[in-house]
Amino acid sequence: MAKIKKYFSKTWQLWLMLLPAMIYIFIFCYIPMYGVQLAFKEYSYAKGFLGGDWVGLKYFKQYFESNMFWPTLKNTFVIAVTGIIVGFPAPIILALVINQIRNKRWRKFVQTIVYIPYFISVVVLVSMINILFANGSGVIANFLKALHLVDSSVNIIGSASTFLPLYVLTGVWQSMGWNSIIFIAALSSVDTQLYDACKVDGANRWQTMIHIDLPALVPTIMILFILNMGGILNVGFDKIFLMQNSTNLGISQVISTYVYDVGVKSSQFSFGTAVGLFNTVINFICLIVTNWVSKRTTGSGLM
Amino acid sequence: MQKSDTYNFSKWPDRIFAAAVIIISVLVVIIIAYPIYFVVIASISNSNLVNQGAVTFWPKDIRFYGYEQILHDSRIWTGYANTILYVVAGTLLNMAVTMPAAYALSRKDFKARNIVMFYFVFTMFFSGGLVPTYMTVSSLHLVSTKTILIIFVAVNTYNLIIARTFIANSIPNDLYEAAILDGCSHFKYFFSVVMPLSKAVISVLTLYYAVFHWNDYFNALIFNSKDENAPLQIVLRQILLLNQAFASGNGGVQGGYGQSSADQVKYAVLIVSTLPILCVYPFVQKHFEKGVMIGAVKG
Amino acid sequence: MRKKVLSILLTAVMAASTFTGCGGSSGSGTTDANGNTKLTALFVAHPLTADITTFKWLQEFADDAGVNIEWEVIYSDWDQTKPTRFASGDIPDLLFNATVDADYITYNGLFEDLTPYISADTTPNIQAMFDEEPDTYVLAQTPEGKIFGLPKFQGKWPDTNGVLFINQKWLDNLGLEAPTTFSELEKVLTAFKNNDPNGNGIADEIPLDFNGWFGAAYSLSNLVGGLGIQLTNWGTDGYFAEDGKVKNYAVDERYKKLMKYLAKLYSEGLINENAITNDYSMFQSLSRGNENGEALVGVVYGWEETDKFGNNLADEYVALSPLAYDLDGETYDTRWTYDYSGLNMSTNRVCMSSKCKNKEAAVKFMDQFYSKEGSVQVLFGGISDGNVSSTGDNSYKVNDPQDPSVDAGTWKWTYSFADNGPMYIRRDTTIDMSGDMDNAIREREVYKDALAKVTDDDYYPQMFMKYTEDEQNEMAVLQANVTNIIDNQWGLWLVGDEDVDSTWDAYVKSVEDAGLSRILEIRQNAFDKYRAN
Repeated sequence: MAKIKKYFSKTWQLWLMLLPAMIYIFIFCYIPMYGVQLAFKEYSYAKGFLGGDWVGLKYFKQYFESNMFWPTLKNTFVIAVTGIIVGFPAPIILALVINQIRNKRWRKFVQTIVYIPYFISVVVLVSMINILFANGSGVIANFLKALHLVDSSVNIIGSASTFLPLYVLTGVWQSMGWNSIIFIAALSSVDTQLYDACKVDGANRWQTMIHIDLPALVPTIMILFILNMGGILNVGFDKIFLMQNSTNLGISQVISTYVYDVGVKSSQFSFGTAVGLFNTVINFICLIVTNWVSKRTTGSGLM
Repeated sequence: MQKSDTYNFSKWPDRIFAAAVIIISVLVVIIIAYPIYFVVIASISNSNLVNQGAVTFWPKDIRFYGYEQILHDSRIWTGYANTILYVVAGTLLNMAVTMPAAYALSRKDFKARNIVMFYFVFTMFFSGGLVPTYMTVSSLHLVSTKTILIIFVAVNTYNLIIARTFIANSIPNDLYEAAILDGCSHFKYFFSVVMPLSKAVISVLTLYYAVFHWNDYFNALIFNSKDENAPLQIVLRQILLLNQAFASGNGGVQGGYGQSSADQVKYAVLIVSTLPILCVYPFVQKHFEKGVMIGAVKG
Repeated sequence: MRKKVLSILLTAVMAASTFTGCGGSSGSGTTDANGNTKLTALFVAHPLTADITTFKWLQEFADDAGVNIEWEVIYSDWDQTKPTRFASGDIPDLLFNATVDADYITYNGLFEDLTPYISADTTPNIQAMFDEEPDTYVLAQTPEGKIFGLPKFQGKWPDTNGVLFINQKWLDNLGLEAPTTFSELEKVLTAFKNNDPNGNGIADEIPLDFNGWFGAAYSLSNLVGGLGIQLTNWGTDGYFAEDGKVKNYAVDERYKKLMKYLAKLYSEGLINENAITNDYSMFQSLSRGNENGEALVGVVYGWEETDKFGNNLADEYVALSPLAYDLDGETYDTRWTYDYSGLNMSTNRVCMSSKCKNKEAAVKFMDQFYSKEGSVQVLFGGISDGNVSSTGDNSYKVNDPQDPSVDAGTWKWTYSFADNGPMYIRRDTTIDMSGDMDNAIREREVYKDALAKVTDDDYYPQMFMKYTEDEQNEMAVLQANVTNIIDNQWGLWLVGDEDVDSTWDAYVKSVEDAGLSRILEIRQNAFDKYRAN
């Protein structure tokens, strides 16, 4: 008892500071969480929500045994992993570059321009893709073909081979600037004395960037990387759904679009809930594993 | 940048480096700016020509139908007023809740922090779904009130983690120890040392939260059914659908008569909804300037 | 968004909840100062719809039924808000255009079975519709014989959704005849591509364009009619009937022939390369011609000439008669998609909350929508609003839009419930409709003979089929798997990424493995039952 008293006499202020956030999370996130059990139940209105029969893993089995299980899981992974490999370093590099721009006005201009695409809605983005990359009339498609970056016979928006690069690169285009904001902010907290010390050592700008700026970003990078890994299976539904067409369906059918096809279009709600829960569990495992690895290797982690 | 004059530009690696920085930044700006420019010209060009790919560098067959449709709609001003209220009040609340919690979680000597962190992180993944949440809101009698749209996301775990990481890594622990020796409480240390030194992360989170409230559409859709509380995004969505109605669906069911202007609204909506929030950025940006924080430490 | 979808799913699932106590219809069960019964109602409106409380015709319906309606109008994203509203029980007394069949199963108990309230005495108009158009009765009933949602019958819409248009001016410029067979079509399209029919010196012509595939009105898959396959109501998901047997043309040898033909056209550059990715708006734009007012498209499906090509180019196009297959010596009985029931009937136009306290008054109000004169006003706008005139006994004229800058279609959608409303337009009612509807009916003359060939053995209107909940659940998952394969394959064949002949057998097998035979079995069973009635 005395121990507890002593503990709280030392920490009550910290608990008080946490309290508003914890109360909010409790009311709006934990109280409604009883909804999760629906993935294991057979929904029957007549018996009521809490009275429905338990069906255990019936709906999970239905998904695991369907011929769409492996294709959707594989496509989701391929898209997500490519997205992280290409998309994760991009804002870091951009932040380092912006941080090195000497002309103040130009730096501000670059910063402002790069974050605008974040505000473009997915519907508009996909319309733009379809117009700018259209075969024959698309400005960007023609430009890429003129530079021989893309073979002139390829229909960029209408073939399976170009779906992945197009999806990932337009994603980088849209989010790179926005995601760089946090890194730019982190770079602003680097102690200038370190730069001076480096200069005394005769380091050039490249070396300064690698030895001072980059290490300063490591905690932020690790935390964001862990969070990204925790969202590994969360590939954006909207954009994939809108970019799907008959030629790329083989590689663009992902878990979320499949859930939509089965669950929403055909009112198979229990099935959809189960697949969603499966998705969440995989994500959660990825987060925990990455967090653990990160803690062992770099010392920074979420928990 | 304070350090700019201290470098020796005559060293060739630095010259190459400086050139590379300029080239990369110019390329990035071109790649990003062109599609944005495209949205602008598409919003004032004949939609048929835009769809055919005939509009590339200059607007063609200029018309302002899209903007007229949006600005002539009286609902839009209510929408703006509501959105500004939600952004300002919501963001203030967010910061008031997030920053103290982030500080508490950043204290390495606070033993319970990992458990508490898990308490937050768990909710990023598992949620009960919309109906239980709706019922909770409903039992608090908050459905269709302005209050719910301000308080619904009082703290975002992702932002909380960012703030915690920043405080833990950028504020030297020496400061805390010195403050404790002076008899400083956590409260006093938080307000007089942590907050002033966290300007960069405060500005980032303000931006994140403000943009979230600005773009919030889904919560308003679910938790509000009164027109007088509708934020800008809901109003714009309705205007957009009204005009897409010309251009979508199946001729047997509805017409496609307004085709030549139909898609303009899509692009114009983007501009009308984005321009105001873009103006917030410069205010946030100035806090990223190097030296702001370190100066504070020294002073 | 993924989260959003999942939350929608979860929401809908929560429908099974017992927490239906909160919310509910406030204000019902009382009367207003004039002694009218107070009711609440919700209408999921078309985005164009104006403030419905200003519609005089709607007020007249309420006055005649002795009710006072407090309206709630939903303009956007009802599908997303619906699950929360239904699951929490927060619904008004009457819901217009707000439900689908599955809702009555998912939210079992939330809606009132209307069968006890419908009779010749209390609801003469609704009863008349069920008597005179028995199809509507079949449509409205659940497998258990209950009626939750009332259907509509709007009788005046044509027999088929899509008209295959060809640019007559281009034919004339090149001195060509309109094609009547598949091989002639290929010749004409080739000429369109190579001989600059729009005369601007640039090879900007797109000989053949399309939008969507299985079940789409403007899809080239509708050409299977030329190989003797009779599609009904767009042939959703590829299903059709032949000699009383339900089949799917996606695995039919005749579809294989069609795909080989289309792949050949595509490889010759005769089909729009961007059609697979173009959305409906882009599809429409292309047909409206370029900035100089020159037509760009040679042959394309559409609803009506001014809708499809705009007022300036509409005159260049004419409807093309059904094309006969003539490629390999085999001949087929040419058919054309028959969409009459799909275009003229649909159910769930209005339904009632089981918590409505004045069900009799509510039913009486509903019946107003089905009266002779009322139905016309629901569809085209009010007589006292000046949008429709009565031109004699059981004869009406749709007036020109009061704002001359607005087209007739837009006007109609703004001031009426239009096609979303409950109504029963009698077959013997004469309506003088707007010009575009006249065009639509005139253009379809060329399909009359082909459409007359439809028999009971090959008329397969999917919306009339009744399935049990278990059957529906089973089919939903299987169909998603089948769709995933067939939707992927047509594109690969069309653009030539895969060869039709060499992949056909494996494709058919994978579709069968995905569960097509089981689906056909369930569907056949339902079709047999439908035909027995």
